[in-house]
Amino acid sequence: MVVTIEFLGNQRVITGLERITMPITGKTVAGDVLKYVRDRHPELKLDEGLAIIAVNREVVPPDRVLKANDVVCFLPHIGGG
Amino acid sequence: MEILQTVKYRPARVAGGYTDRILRVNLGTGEITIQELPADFKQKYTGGRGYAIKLIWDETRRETRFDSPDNLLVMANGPLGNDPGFPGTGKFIVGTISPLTDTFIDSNVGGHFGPLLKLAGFDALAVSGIAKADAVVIINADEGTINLAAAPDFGREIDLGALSYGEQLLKACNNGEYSDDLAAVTAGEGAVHSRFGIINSLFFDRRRNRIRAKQAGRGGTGTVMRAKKLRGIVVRSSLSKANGNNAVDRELVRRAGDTLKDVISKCDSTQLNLSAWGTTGLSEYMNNFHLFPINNYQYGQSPEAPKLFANVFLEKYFSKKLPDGCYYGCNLACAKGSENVTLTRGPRAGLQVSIDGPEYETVGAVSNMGIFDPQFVLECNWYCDEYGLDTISLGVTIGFFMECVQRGFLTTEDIGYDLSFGNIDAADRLLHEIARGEGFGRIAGQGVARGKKWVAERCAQRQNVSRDAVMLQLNKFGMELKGLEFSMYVTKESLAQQGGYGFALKGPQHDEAWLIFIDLVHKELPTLESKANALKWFPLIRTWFNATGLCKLPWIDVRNPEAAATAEPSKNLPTLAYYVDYLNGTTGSHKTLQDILDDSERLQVLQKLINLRQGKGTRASDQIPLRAMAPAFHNEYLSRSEYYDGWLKEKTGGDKLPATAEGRHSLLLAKRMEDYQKLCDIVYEKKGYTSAGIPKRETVEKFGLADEQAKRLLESFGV
Repeated sequence: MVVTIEFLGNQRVITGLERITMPITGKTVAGDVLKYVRDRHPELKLDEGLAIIAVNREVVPPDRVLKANDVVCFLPHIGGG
Repeated sequence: MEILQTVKYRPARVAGGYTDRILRVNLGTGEITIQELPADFKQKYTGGRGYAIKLIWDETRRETRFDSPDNLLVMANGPLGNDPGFPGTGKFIVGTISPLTDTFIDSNVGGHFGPLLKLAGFDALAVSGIAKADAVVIINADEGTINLAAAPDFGREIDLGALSYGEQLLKACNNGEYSDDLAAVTAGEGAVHSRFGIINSLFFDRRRNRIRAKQAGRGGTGTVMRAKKLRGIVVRSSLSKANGNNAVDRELVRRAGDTLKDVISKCDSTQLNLSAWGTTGLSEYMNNFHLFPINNYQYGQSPEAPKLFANVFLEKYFSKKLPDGCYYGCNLACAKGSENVTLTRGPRAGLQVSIDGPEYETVGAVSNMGIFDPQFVLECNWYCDEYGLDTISLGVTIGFFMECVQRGFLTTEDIGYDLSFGNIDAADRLLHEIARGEGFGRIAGQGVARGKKWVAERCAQRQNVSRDAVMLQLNKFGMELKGLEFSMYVTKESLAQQGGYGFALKGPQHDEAWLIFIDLVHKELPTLESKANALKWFPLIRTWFNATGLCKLPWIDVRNPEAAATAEPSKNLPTLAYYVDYLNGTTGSHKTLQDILDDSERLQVLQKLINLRQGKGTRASDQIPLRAMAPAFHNEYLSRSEYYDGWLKEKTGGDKLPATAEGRHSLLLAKRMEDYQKLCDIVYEKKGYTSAGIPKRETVEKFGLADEQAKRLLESFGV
């Protein structure tokens, strides 16, 4: 089982990647994906508390259990001009 | 330059952020006077937008329209503008009676004009009357003169353009050279022929070695300027910008500024990256969450949208190695620019130009016409700045007429050419027609509200139906409220943002309340109560930024890491604490955040009273078009039917939904309209209004605003 991690906006430019996949088990949670990406791409500086995790375009808490083929991305806070 | 009137003066020294003077210019009589403000004026009205609101309330009448001699064109800085030690201090406000809304409009703009006006000794400039012939105003603090002059003639092509004319005017005032001691505001030919003319704020950028421009874009402020036959205003001061406010507590100001700059420097590059991408970075996020306007807000997402994402502009257009910024000392520096772009369309095709932008709003204005060509975004941006047109109103107005064609309310014969979504040639042609007041541009240049009436008349005659019946349909998708076109966010799925637009006093511009991501994506406003609280709190703090001469982006678009541990992270309160320190350090006050919110509420209530007087202040004026709250037509519903059916199931608690798609769509519309009315009720209550949206007498009295005019007005509404 895998999930897809999409890199949006600035993250795509920094990593040079559109998306990567991550193997999961039945117990993998959204927070594990954050750690997975932080380990592989420390240059993204995805700090806990600042990065918002979205699964299939829905913001989720870090303890949300993932399913096969979920699409995960990390969002910045956007407050508007 | 032919000088018509000269006044000599001694510039007031800035003390604690204020000069306590307003410069008055009556173009009708040629009179130039300096008004000394009483000590309590700044306590009550703060500055910037507050000063403009107060002057418009006192000096205009219910009958005043944008082109009336008694309409005022106010440009006001604020006590916190003009300090390079703190980020984002180049803002000023243009306030006036709008040609689009017939009520007060305020439009904030960056650049050097506001700070230099303050250094020249004025907290505000108020222009009244109408000149006999085109004129310019030159404020020269170094010489101690204020001149009213006949507008110089630089040749036809230059005279038609706001950018070109401003560049020449600045040179003419400085022996043919640019200098950062001077700044100007100008309005172009498009502002003469349309109701959504802008005012350009021009300043010299040493790094780029050229004049740059920011825009007071919303509500037709440039149209007012040209109606007064005012071509431009130049201000000059060579006083040092450092500690330009003569802060009472310089150390407190320094600490607050350094701390905020540190947060920006650490966080922006891993968040929205405004310093590299400007605001174009928003396009991708908006598109991902169905918030990016496509085809007159019918859709919020398009497979073609990636052609307009920030990386495209960064790779192809933006100057990458030049730090930007619209005022000194701002390390967020989001005012991106593009150099040496060759125009491929319009009367200046082949010309190589420098372009300030694009901003997200201009990108959204183009996608709203169903166009996904980045080169066209750049050219639309430049022509609109040069003509003096608001890109937002332009994109929404053209999008509206395109949809009128799509749905059969207009024909190609009505317009003279095929104005369909995605047709770049047609959009380009209409842009130039609007600017020149030619062909169909004469109609489109009036904006959506007046455009709806024109279409209704024409369509009713052709189809032999009643005008009201046509208008009922047009009101569903004519994206304006109070006469102002919506800014570039699809609000169908965010009740909080529907209110953000609906209750915005000037009309649907996001700078009073931008809650769409907080509500829809971050889900920080889950209940009606929390949405209503946000719809009271955010407009208050945002109004304060407009009153003090500050840019909001360093606060709202760079999340302070410490905010995560607070109860309401979206308010970014740790950063706001630096702003409170900055205020107290500059002015010597001892205010709390709550004091600031109270100051702003006074301004909001007074602006509401102006709206009430001008016929735009009741609940009826807060009712957004159907498309702003739901998929107005069935094609929109079908494009996301699974999502909408899921929403309905959740809303009805799993009740059995209608069997047909038409039935579910109807139910969805009913539920959305019901929610919006509930929101109106609770927001009005929190704001101290009656259920009709009118400020209660005790609300007006609480803020010391119950003057004779206010009492009579409230009485006329039975309050």
